[in-house]
Amino acid sequence: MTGMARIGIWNDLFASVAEEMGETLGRSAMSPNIKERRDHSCAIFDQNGHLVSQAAHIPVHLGSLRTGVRNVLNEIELTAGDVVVFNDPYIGGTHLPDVSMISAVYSESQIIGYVASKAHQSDIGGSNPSSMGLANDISDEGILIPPTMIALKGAINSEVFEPIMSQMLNREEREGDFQAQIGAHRVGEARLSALAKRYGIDKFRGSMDDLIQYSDKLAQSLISQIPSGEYMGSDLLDDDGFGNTDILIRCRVVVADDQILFDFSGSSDAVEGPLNAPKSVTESAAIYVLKCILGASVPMNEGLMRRVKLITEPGSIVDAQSPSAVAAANVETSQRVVDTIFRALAPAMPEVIPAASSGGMNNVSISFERPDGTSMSYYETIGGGAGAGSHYEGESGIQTHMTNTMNTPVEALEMSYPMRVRRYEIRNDSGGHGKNRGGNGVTREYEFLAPARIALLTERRARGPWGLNGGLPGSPGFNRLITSEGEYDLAAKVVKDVNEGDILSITTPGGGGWGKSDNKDGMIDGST
Amino acid sequence: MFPMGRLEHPSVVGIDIGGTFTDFYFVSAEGLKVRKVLSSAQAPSDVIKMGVRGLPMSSWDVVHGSTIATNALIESQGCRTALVATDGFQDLIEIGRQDRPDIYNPMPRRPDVLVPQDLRIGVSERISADGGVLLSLTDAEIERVVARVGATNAEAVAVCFLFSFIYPEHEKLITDALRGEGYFVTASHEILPEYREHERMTTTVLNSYLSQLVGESVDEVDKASRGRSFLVMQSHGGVTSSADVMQNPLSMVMSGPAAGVLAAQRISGEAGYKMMISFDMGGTSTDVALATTEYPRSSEGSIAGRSYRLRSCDVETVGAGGGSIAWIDPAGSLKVGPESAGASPGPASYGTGILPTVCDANLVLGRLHAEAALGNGMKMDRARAIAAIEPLATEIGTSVEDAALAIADIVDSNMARAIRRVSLEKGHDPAQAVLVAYGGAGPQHACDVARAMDINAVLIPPSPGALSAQGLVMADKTKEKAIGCLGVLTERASETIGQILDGLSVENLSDLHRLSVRTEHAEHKYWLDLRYLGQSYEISVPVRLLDGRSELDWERAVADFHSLHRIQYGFSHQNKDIEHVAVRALASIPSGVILGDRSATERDSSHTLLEGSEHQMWFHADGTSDTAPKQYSTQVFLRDELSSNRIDGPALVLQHDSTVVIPPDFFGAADALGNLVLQSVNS
Repeated sequence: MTGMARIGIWNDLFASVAEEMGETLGRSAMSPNIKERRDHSCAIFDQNGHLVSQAAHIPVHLGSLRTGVRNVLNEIELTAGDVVVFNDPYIGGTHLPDVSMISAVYSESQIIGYVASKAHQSDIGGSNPSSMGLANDISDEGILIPPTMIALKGAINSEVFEPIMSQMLNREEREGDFQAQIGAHRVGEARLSALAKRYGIDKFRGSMDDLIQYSDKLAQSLISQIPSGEYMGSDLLDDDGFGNTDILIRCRVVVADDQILFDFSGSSDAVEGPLNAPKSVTESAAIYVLKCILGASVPMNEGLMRRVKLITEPGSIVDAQSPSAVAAANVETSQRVVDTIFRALAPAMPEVIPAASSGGMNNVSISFERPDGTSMSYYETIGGGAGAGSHYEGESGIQTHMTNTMNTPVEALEMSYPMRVRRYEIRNDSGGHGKNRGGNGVTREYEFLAPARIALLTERRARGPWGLNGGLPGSPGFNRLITSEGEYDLAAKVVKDVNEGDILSITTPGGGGWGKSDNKDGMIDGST
Repeated sequence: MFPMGRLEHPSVVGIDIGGTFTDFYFVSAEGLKVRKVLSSAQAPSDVIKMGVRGLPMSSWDVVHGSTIATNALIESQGCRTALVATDGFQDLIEIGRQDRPDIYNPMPRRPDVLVPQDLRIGVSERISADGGVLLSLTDAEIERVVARVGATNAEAVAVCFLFSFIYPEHEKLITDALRGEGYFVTASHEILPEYREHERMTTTVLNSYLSQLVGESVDEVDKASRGRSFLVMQSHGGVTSSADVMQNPLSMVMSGPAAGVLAAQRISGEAGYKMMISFDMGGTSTDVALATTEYPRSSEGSIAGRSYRLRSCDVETVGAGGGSIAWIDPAGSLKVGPESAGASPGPASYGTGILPTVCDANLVLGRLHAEAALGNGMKMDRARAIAAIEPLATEIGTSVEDAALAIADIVDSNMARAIRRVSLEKGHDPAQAVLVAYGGAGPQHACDVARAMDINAVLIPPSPGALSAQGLVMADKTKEKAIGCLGVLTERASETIGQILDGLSVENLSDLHRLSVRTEHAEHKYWLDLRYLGQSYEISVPVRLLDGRSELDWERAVADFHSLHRIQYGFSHQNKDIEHVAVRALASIPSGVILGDRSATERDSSHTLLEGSEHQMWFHADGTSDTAPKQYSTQVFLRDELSSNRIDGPALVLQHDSTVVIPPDFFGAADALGNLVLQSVNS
């Protein structure tokens, strides 16, 4: 070993391979979801299945491949050219549209590591076109794929591929996306075995160990800078769309020298609606928080994970068991897990941790029926206000924490769907007041030019995102429908038919404020 | 090699204003000349005058490039700009695409909003997706808006309405009214007649935001240089009139890198290479680009986190260069950058700073020569460099030379990663390319970076420290026009598209005429931005018109789109409808400037270089892995006196604007064009 000084070179090498896999997948996939929203991630593992490097374009995939790889490798042995596919949320998947693959990397007839990928496939069967509706059982959310060989010795295994494809709504696109994902694996395998050849297998393996060691050491040193202690936090999800309200998430964070424990015991039981988080989603949220507070420079690998312990109660809202519905945990519950952990740690790190942000993704699905009876569906998420921090006001109209997906241009939307956007503007004065103000939410209004069915999955409608250190909460969001007969409030989670001429207005929450406001103005505004 | 009549060669000077130096590249029948003058933000005119001193400028053509627009964006130094937009959408300038630049910053920060809320003016008007008027723009509303703009004390205005790329009349009415009041106005349908309102709005705003600074600066350089003609470099590698750039100041934002990549591409092409990777390593950052026989163009760019859509040179920038500071993180890993010593205090060896930089590491390793680096008679101080690196060496428990070598290794690894991004990740094999190294630090790191990427050949152009200035004089005069044009690509549409392209060409030619150049040798290029129906991303596909007719060669456009789509995205849909989104036409007039040979080159020299002296350098013993550093006694050559005889590494080649390192596993020789071509012994 030549010491840690040059470990950055190996970090660059492994990260480049993961990154190139991701680029290959993004470039060759067919659906906009992967191509433009970059809803995918790729990772590299050592011969023991330990995560070495990951390129995650969105935080909700952080670390989740690791659990899947561990569980799958316990059951399945991979020979060269094999690819195993799965989306089972309960063994390390996330929600059903996120399809994972794993393959082994061979050099001189021995396994030198593994590559894995996860990509959000736009449809995965099931009753709902965008797989983002209000189901109360996993079987309504799409098909569940247990770990299965989708490729054998370098060739597609049609005995597995065909039956999966036959259940897809848009078969051509799905085939393209699955093949793109397999293609990314081939690139990753080739690059890693080239590295092993160039530097020798011993050096290659040693460097993987060193990189894990390095992350471990760096995480240790950064965690030891957080004041040791036990910190409690809790927060609530509004409702599950089936009448269950105020769903509790609790987290006890224990920082002991160079270890950090997240204990979610005492969180609410699983609910009927699709908010139940598989443990891997909860874990991704925890790692996201850790990356935020330790700095993004810690390579995402097993070493970082060794410093983290997660306790969840199986069957709770943060550790879903079959057949709980899980579709919205990615987009909503994961955000509340982040809020909960940040809230717990805020007293320990007041300089670093911001007030709560808008706290959800404001999911809007709209489907239209074409004259020929087929349907056309549209899905988007809407940003809100970011929480203020010790040194900054919150940004307005921005995606926060577990998502970073872009909006759809108004002009693109109006050219493709029978609807018109009436306004898309900042919701002034919705950020929580304080020494630093929370960011403002936005209002986005859609006018329907044809009858449609809308599905909303929104949060922070019952109460606004909390402030910190005396800062006031941001304003809660609200959803409204304006028809020829009048104006109605819509529930936070709802599926509803609307008519031509109706207007849907989504107003997203403002972020929480930070610190006591010392001007009188703020006090007056804040009390309204 | 240079059969062109020397006497006919035009006299052209390229003036490239950078943060530290302003470079002058003179080419004429008499030969070449390079001059470097320290830049001055306070007295830019004096710098120009000093650069062109002693020359009969009334017979010289001037081509200018500068970083002024880039710096204005980095430092948010533009003018007070009002935004006039469709009511209900004026906040889009702040909301953007709703994403954040740094995912793991718990307090996400976007660059400062260029137009604060009180400068955003909503206008009562609305166009529908098919170009129909849903809400008319009334005279009263125009009057109200003009008055509102007046009340904001804005220095420039940006106008952006929804669907103006289909129906521009509303924008035209407001724009005319505001221009009538004397404002600098950018209208979105003029600068970017394409769909996607946020990108169009940002581009429009940035253009107005830069108008004053760029206008004043370009004017100043024009007046101070007093040339026979005056042209300005644009981001996409072509030059145009200063009047044009004053109308479209944003087009100047990448002029420096665009010129450097152009020179690198032309020079390597002339030397026989079909693919090149440019490696421009400066003091604080490094630009990397890949080009085949086509100039690398992208339809979007980003400076300081501000994205815009404008045809630009496609470069990848790394935040590390010769001035980047080395440090050790809490787990013992050596890091380089992103902090830089900059021009002040500068690297430790320059005499003021105390922090260790890449440049100091190179000096310790003998990869720079203490006598030859600064160009103004100053010597670099090796003892100071050693003192700066020593604490790092102690912390990681190695010798000073090993620590210095580790600094070089880490920065080379960062560079290799950028090269992977422009090559492997876009489907190109870097092993097929030549690495063209320039910038002050590029030639010191080129061979090591090449080795890491399995690149076998490295080309160091004659003036690596002034390549952007050289690119300026080589650039073609170009005019490009694009318009949004949405529809399904059918055979029937090919005549209409052909006529549109023809119309754009005529406009381009008449614009070129206004540059008072002869246009009979103008070359025309056309593109269609195409996609499969239902997709939301396009590919710019080069197309042509059928011989002698204003009709698109439809069959070929379709076939080329399928094949480009397959190369870029891995698949094609032979039976799917294709949609056209925009059409583009470019007319260019070749510069007529030829590549120089060395015999006629003359350089301003303020000091004498050392020659033939024994020199010590350090490299990895086996060249390829992280073994301990080995000391080599090497020869030092002067670039100006290099012959075509083979030089074996290890060796150091000194020249006025850079220093070239030849490691033990490389050898090289000067070619007929004056390039130093280095090759791996393993190739």
